[in-house]
Amino acid sequence: MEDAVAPRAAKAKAMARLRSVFGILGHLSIRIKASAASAVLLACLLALGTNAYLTSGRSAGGLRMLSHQLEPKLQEVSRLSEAIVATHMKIFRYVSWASNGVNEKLMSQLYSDIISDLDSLSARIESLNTRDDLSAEERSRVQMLLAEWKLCKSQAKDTLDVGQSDPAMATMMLGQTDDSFKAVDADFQSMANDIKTAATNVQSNLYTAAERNQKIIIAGTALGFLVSAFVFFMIGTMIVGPIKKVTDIMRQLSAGKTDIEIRMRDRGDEIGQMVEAIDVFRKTMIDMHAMEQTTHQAEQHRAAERRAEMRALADEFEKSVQQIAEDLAAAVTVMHKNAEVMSLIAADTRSHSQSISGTVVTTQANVDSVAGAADELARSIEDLASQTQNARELTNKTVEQSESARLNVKQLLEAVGQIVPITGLIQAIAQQTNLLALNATIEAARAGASGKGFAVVAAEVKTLAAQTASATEEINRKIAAVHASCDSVVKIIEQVVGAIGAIGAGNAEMAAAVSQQAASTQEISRNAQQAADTSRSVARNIVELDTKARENDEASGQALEGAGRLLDQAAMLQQQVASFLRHVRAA
Amino acid sequence: MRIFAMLGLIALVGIAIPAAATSEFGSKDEAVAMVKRVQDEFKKNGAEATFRDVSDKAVAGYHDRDLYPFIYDMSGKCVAHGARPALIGKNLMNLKDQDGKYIIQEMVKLSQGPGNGWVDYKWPNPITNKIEDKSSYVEKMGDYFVGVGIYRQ
Repeated sequence: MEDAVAPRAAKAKAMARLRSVFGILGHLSIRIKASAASAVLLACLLALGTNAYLTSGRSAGGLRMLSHQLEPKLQEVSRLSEAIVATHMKIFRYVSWASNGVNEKLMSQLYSDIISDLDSLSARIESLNTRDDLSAEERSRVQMLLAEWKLCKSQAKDTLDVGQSDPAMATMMLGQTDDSFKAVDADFQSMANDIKTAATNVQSNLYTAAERNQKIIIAGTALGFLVSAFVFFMIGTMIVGPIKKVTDIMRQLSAGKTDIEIRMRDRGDEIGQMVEAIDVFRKTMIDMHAMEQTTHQAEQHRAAERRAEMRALADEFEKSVQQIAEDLAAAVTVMHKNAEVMSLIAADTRSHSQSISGTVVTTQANVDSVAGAADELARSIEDLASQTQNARELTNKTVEQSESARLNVKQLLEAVGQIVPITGLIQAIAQQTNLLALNATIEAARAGASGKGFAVVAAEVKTLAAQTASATEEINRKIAAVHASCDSVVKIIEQVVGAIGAIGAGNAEMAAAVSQQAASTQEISRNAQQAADTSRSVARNIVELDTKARENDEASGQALEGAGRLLDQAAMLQQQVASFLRHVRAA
Repeated sequence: MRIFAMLGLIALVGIAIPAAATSEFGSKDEAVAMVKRVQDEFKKNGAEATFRDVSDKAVAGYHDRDLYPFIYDMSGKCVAHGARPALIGKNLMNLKDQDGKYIIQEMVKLSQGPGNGWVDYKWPNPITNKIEDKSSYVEKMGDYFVGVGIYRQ
């Protein structure tokens, strides 16, 4: 269990460390992050370049050492070694010649040859000692070699000297000469070997260095590439990723979504600052939204209040207008009825006047017949008297009827007169409605878009009010016309009544004359003529009356029609008021 | 030189002329006796005279058939030689015989060690000039050692 927990804890720890490192990296500004990749690459390049410089410097040093020190030294030592061996061989030859009695000239040549060899070898070994490219070890070795060489040289000389006189002894001495030469040669060989070893070391060092350098370059390049790629990737994830997130947040914000989680605020870089700024923006948006909502609610509240006010106003308006409309309707109904009555009366008057006209014609014929048969007058005085009585009764009746017509017309006038204040009231209401409509229009304008419908209704109401006003004006005009007609009817009726009164008086006089003037037929004839004239005038008047009555009939018809239209318009008004109120209440 | 040496030998040293040879080659005793004679002269006449006489073939006391003395210092330098004057002045410390024996080194060791003794080696016979087996008696003599050898047949 513990074994399983421990690595997990370690892993978690490592992850935490990694995260903290990432956190620190995240706090770096984007500029630093962006330059990190090139900085890493630059560092790698610098490291590789430095390494290459140092390595090539070392290689150059090694090569210089090889070509300028080790190789010449080795050559010199090898040559020396060869020369020593050659001299050694010469000494052998000398002793051999001495033992075998070679002639003295050759011997002395060889002798001097060997001596000069030995001297030149001494000089060369000495000069080897003066070389400045010797290591301390080599120098001590050369010192030793010099000592050995000294011995070797002296032994060689001894051998040669002895060989001149005592070849046998010289042969004996070859052993030691051989030894010392071998020792010197061995020393030279070992020195050459050492130099070769040094050269090999240098070469192998160079080779190793070159190989290592190759590896370093490969590893450095790979590392540089990997680190750069890693840094690139890191920057990618640490800049592009957060920027995408920030863009997403901004897009959401721009879409009006303010309840989003704002992350990466604790970043120390520009993105953190950006996110901070966005958060401020988001808060401002939220505040603005809240403010807007508050305003909207207040506006709604105000609109509701206004609507309620309007509704109350509408209720009130409805009440008053309905009352008025009802009153108007009632008045118009009454008017209509009156107009009907008036019309009937007018028709009645007409028929009466026609019948009067007929009667008058009859009367005229009678008068004519009176005038024509003056002599028959006496005879038919009684007849006449009765007929006069009839005429008188008829006249009375006519007078009564005229009176009745006059009274009716007067009543009509009164009824019309009653309409006038109603129309005034309607006009006042129309004005008031107009004012209301005006107010409503202004309110609608102030309400803006939401009051548009209301403005339309207000305009309709305004039109309605104007129509109402024009209708009432027309009614007024019509009423005035009716009034005028009625006035003239009354006057004519009065004239008719006057005329009838005059007929009545004439009839009375005629009755008296009937009883008195039997004698004077001329008088009677003249009177009859007069009567005929009068009756003609009456007939004319009657015709006039008839015309008037027709006019009256027409006027009352018109009044009736006007009242009907008024009724229709009252109904329409009522309807439109109702629809207006509906609109107002609906608004 | 030779005359001086001769004179010196006869007048100053007065060494007895050895008895007539009993054999063709010298014996061990004769070799030891010759060493003793050199020692005596060294003590009596000093180094230089002794060296001169030893090297002078005319001095009969030091040159008897194949017997002759040789004197080296302790560095291996030959200072006097009864048979091969060419060696005088040469350092032969590293001289080897055909068997690889360091002859002079052995003699120096013997002189510095026990002071005397016999050393066997190979050496050219002065008479035949052939390399033969030789046994030499060696004795310390001051800063030097002196030896006389016999050739063993």
